[in-house]
Amino acid sequence: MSPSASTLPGDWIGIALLLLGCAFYGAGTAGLLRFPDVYSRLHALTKADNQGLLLVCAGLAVLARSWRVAALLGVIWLLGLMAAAVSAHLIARHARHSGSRRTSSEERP
Amino acid sequence: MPTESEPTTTLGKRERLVWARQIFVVLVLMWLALAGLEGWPVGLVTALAGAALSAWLATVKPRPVPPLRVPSFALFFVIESMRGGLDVAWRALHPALPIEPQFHRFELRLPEGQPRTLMVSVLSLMPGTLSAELEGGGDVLVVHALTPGAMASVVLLQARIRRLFALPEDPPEARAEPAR
Amino acid sequence: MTAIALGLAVVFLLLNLLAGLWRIGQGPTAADRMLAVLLFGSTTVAVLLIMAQWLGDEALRTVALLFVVLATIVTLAFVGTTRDGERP
Repeated sequence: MSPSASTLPGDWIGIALLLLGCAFYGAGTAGLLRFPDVYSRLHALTKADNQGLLLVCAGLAVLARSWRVAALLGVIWLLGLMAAAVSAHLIARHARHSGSRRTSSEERP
Repeated sequence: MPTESEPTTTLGKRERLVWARQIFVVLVLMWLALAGLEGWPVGLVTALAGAALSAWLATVKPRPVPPLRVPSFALFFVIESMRGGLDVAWRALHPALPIEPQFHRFELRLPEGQPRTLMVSVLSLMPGTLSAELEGGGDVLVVHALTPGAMASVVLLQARIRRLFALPEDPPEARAEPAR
Repeated sequence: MTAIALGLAVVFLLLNLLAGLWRIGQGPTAADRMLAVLLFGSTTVAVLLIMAQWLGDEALRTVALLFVVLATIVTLAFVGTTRDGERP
């Protein structure tokens, strides 16, 4: 754990993973801004952000160079995944019960 | 996960023991990941307490999972959830926004309890699908799909979950109907 | 270099959070506002973890862990207590 000057070759992999993870967060936000209905926005937030979290955790695990930290990051990712999946279902169910049963595009047969 | 329609059958002693064992294994693994062997007596006691508590509170029949089937399901899950993230990221960033959101009804061919809970939770992380609601006493899953093709994930996931819980190979033809 | 990348990542994620919150503020339904919980959950966890690496502060990882666990509970509470138009 040296947050300073010299960048080891392995660090570049970590940095690449980290920045790629951030890109997924960006895509999640893009979906949040652009998708037309609550349900589609939920897709963007749960899936893209969790992919982002996975990559950020992977990148940080490489940078930290410690199995302990890597294991902790793994647990955090798994719990984040569960949180997102459960929350997404609960929010979608709530939205349906509140009457917005349609996605905003046309219904298709 | 609060899926509404779990029947409150009384569980036998052996079923509660299965619950306790499953939760115990999960909690011990979690302690090991978080703290290593540091302070293991505390971890052991905590895991035992957690296992006892969940055995006491359990309301559904436990479904034993053959441990050897876990890695293959985990691998499937990781790959599919990565595909899911990539898929939705691509669609969100694409200038033309290529989505056709719609609801489908899917008749679940999974027993109540853990298999259904797993299905409902994991489905939201698969490419293009989101589990919106359970209907018909939990037999029908309303799925929100980003594209018509995404419904393939549902059939696939159900087959993998059946395999994970060592249920007999099923779907003759699993169907997904469009729904409001 | 590593420090710069970590800093950039934090700034980028915080900008994301701001953009998302602005969108959610517009959201017409309660469900739209609940998306804030999801967004906050996933983004703050990443920010905390990156800060932990940046500052070399182990405690921030524990905070991140707590955040993850709390995110689920907050959604449960939010969904459980918001009952606009809930069918009986």
